[in-house]
Amino acid sequence: MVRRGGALLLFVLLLSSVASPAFADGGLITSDPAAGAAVPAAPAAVALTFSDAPDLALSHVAVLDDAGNPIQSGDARQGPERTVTVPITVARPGNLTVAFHMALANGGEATGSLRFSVGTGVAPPAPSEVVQQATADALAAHQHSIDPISAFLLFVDGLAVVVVLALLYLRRPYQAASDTPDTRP
Amino acid sequence: MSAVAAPPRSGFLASLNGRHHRAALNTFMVVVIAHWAEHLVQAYQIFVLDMPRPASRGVLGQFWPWLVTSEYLHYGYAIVMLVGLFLLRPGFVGRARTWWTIALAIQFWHHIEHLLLLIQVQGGFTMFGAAVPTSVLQLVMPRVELHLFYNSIVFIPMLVAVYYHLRPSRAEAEVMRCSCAPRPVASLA
Repeated sequence: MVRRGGALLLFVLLLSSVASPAFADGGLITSDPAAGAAVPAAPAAVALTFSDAPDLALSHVAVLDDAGNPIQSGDARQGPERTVTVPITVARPGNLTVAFHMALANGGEATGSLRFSVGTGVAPPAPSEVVQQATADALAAHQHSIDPISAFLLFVDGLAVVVVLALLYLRRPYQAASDTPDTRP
Repeated sequence: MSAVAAPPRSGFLASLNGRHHRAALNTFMVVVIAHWAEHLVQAYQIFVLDMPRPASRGVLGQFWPWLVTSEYLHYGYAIVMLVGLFLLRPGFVGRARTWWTIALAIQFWHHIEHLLLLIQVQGGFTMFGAAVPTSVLQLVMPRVELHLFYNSIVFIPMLVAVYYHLRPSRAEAEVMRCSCAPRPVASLA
């Protein structure tokens, strides 16, 4: 029984490791404003559309100004369908950078950045070192960390299973004597 | 604690908690353990395979990724747990019954939490002023921690109950009426 269980677990783990590469990452399909656009007036929000529906609980978007400061004015909202909208407040003309790290419903991920300008009349130039660093920091801060409480709970649950199995093995069941009536159905 | 509450003697519940109790309990525990196995696989994917967390979706999630984020799946599992805990409870006696009842009570609240989430998802609105569908305990703990938290505080009392059910005291064994009860053996005297 134990051998059979161990073999099953091994099979499941192998299956899991083999199955993983089958799901390629998704990507950004389009954005509003578009990457490289020079828009005359400040938009109220940035909309990003992906190849599959994003899972907002595991996704993050940051919009940065020329100084690398975030300018989102609210939480990202999902919809319609595969689009995520982030409200922003643009204080002055300049170049904006959108950094995103999305988990998609198909299991893929989309990570990257795009730039557009507001009120400058020209397409955004290459980002300055400050903006590059702020973008990298925003993406790094968005990496999905391992939840330590869940890991601890999983360990405790596993330990509980091991302890109960050990006790079941070590402590033999109470056995009624043969002169006791068998009440089992 | 005294050994109390043997199962009813007729009907579906009596049959389930009598001659079919061991089979039903085994089946139920397989479902519960399979759920934990999925989480163990996720941990293996994160810690050993070094896969990013969103891509670590267990076995079923590798083939059907939408399952992992499906509120239907989570609510469905909460219902299965609640129904299983309720239906199999009469077969337990004594300390096992106490622990099983604790698990049932916690699972009932867990199910209410999932119902709140499902209603928000289906209704397209959120509660408690949150940006995303939110449960009550989620107001103080993030969602990702809640799933294992709730399942742990249900799972551990269940394990204790099953242990006491399989290793009853003499007093408990004497009132057990299910197929898990110890078999009489020849006396050595």
